[in-house]
Amino acid sequence: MLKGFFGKIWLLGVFCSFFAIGIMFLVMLNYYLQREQKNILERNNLLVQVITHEIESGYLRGLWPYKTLKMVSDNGDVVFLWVVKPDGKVFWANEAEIIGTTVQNPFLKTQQTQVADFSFRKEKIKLIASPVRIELKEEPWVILMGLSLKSLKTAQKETIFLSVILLLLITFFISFIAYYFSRRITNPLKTLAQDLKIIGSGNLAYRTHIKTGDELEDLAHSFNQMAEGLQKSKIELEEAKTVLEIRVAARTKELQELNKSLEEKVQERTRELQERLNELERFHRLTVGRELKMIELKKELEQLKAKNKKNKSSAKRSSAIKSRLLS
Amino acid sequence: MEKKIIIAIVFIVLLVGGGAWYFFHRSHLPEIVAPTSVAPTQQTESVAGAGWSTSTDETQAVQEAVNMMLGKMKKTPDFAFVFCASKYNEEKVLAELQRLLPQTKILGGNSGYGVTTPGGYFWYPLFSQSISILGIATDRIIWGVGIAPSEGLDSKATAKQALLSAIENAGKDVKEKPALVINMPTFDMTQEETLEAVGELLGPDVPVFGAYAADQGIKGDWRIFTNERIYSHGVVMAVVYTDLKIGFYKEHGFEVTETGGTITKADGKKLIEINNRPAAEVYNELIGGLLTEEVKNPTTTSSSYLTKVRVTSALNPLARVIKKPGQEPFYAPAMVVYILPDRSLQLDIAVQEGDELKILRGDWEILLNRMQTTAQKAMETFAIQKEKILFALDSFCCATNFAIPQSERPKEAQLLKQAIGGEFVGICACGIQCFDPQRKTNTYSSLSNGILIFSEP
Repeated sequence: MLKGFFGKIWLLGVFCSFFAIGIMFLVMLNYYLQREQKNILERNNLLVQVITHEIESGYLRGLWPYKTLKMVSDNGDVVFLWVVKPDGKVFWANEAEIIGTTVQNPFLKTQQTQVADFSFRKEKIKLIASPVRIELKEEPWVILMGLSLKSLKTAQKETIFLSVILLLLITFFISFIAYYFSRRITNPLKTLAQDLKIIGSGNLAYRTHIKTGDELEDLAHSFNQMAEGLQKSKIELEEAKTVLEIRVAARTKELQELNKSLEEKVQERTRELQERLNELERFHRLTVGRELKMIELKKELEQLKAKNKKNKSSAKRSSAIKSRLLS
Repeated sequence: MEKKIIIAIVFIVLLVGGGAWYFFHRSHLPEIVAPTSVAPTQQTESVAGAGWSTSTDETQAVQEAVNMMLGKMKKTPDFAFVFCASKYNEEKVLAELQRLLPQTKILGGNSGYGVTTPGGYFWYPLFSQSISILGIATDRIIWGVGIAPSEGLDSKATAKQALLSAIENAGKDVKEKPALVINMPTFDMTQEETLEAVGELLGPDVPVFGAYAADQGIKGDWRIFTNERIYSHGVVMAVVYTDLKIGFYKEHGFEVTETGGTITKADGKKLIEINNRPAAEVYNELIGGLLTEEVKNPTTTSSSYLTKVRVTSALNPLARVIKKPGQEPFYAPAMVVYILPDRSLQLDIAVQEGDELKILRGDWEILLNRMQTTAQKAMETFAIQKEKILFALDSFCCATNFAIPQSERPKEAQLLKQAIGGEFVGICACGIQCFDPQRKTNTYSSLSNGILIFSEP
């Protein structure tokens, strides 16, 4: 299929299409991932603000919003959630063993919410740092929230995986359909070609049996009709040939008989002619002597004629001289 | 032609792959420095040291805990609190303690589901067994320990015997009031009566801090012990004579609702009727039918049933209202230990006919907050500075502990550690006795959190 000119064009088209689709897919995927990342950040930033307000409002009563902190930290995107004092000591953390430990981070004394890329335990994360102003005289505490982008990566992998699977399925389906339909078209054609070869080899009684219900069946029918016509013509021709042969045989016989009688006549006539020839020879021999005498006579005649002519021209000159003389 | 196709495919793959790499790969990012805990370097002697172990072998557990404690203190303690989960064989525990710490006075007992220490939260189901020891060595405290079995005696008499024994152990006289009495009766004792015993012998102004010894599930397999004896039913007490600053506080943290009733029939810790109706039915109605099925089919054998009843009562406790003229009412929450077949309620506080009851309400956030607020309130009340705290003893109700999500429970230890900073041990006990500085009296209530802090003046 790929050897033909059409095949080459088709293949190029397919490659270009796949390339274009691939690029388009990557661009769109990246766009949606960026958008989803932004949504995750906005959503969790909002949660951080909620926590901040709850901490600030509960602090004077000595109560910490542990339920809210747990709810937020239980969110699948949250890798860690720490409430950190200005000196870096973790006051609360989603993991018990981190409480009371010391953390180092450039955003510890931040005065406004900040978002930055970091890695934590070898995982790429987004860090949201938001100040908590609970003690007016002191520097603010800070909420550090590490957001995993695993869900995005998972979604990305799933999308790519699904797309590839879908592409393969579509390709397989289209190939199957193309194969099925091409087989439906080419199989009858192949059968027809084979049948025509048989018919072409001289078997005009052979008929093709194609039942596709479409133009191919009509074509096969036409071929059958043609073969039938050819077969009929051939039979007629053969019949004519036979008649002709019979006729030729009869005529030949006639001619042979005629020939025989003619030969006999020729022989008889030859004998007669021989006899006449013999007579003629005898006559010839007789006439030859006469001819020789004739030739001698002719020569004598010629001589006489020449003398006569000479006499006539002398007479003419005499008359001319006489006329001139008379004039 | 075929070669060209291969080259084209490779080209496209490289191009698309390169594009994908560009889109999804990021360059190296700065690493967040993981939080680190800096272990304090203790080169000098310390007044107190806590040790712990989660080994299931009694001998090994005691050795590990004692060695850890001695490693912090650098000397043998005069006195030690020893609390262990009830699955241990206390005889073996005590035998090893006597071997390792022959000169140390010990106040010990079962700590229900586990212990809390600066090293973490070692409670069931995270740890099947755990032991903690808090050793104290200072000449600024004189300790006396006493223990008495309840054989043939009521709770008050038993407590008096234990207290007198402790005073004698301290080499003191009843007339010399100790700075503090530490009280640990077994669960079956009437805790209020033990407080009365202290009041009658030493006066109502002597502060008492204590909690009952209980096993896992309150099945009767509990023990109390000193360095000499072990009892299943009785009272162990320690008297403290010191010039150090002592702070204590107990709180439940619940919100008081307007819902309640009046006790019309009671027998000790058994609440039979409220408003002339079976107590369990009334209680269930008051808390919005949260225990309907349990009230219909009471049992004392199913652990899941008992957990449901106790945790529900830990979030919606019945509280006895104690009013005194000129004072704010005191609410003594009670844990519903069982629902009995006659629809009465087995509580862990004593109640009387005519007592007013209120329904309190809380959630796990309030309960977890207590780990810090109780300590902070003790420090505020007694003007204790965190930096000067020497050691502390905490008692956290196990029913309220189990009302907290399992993922949050380990934070209890860290929050307490953060609040007080020093060495401490925490026990699992619901009924807590503590002196109320406002009311100038010792009170007992359940479902609470209590803390005792010793600090430099």
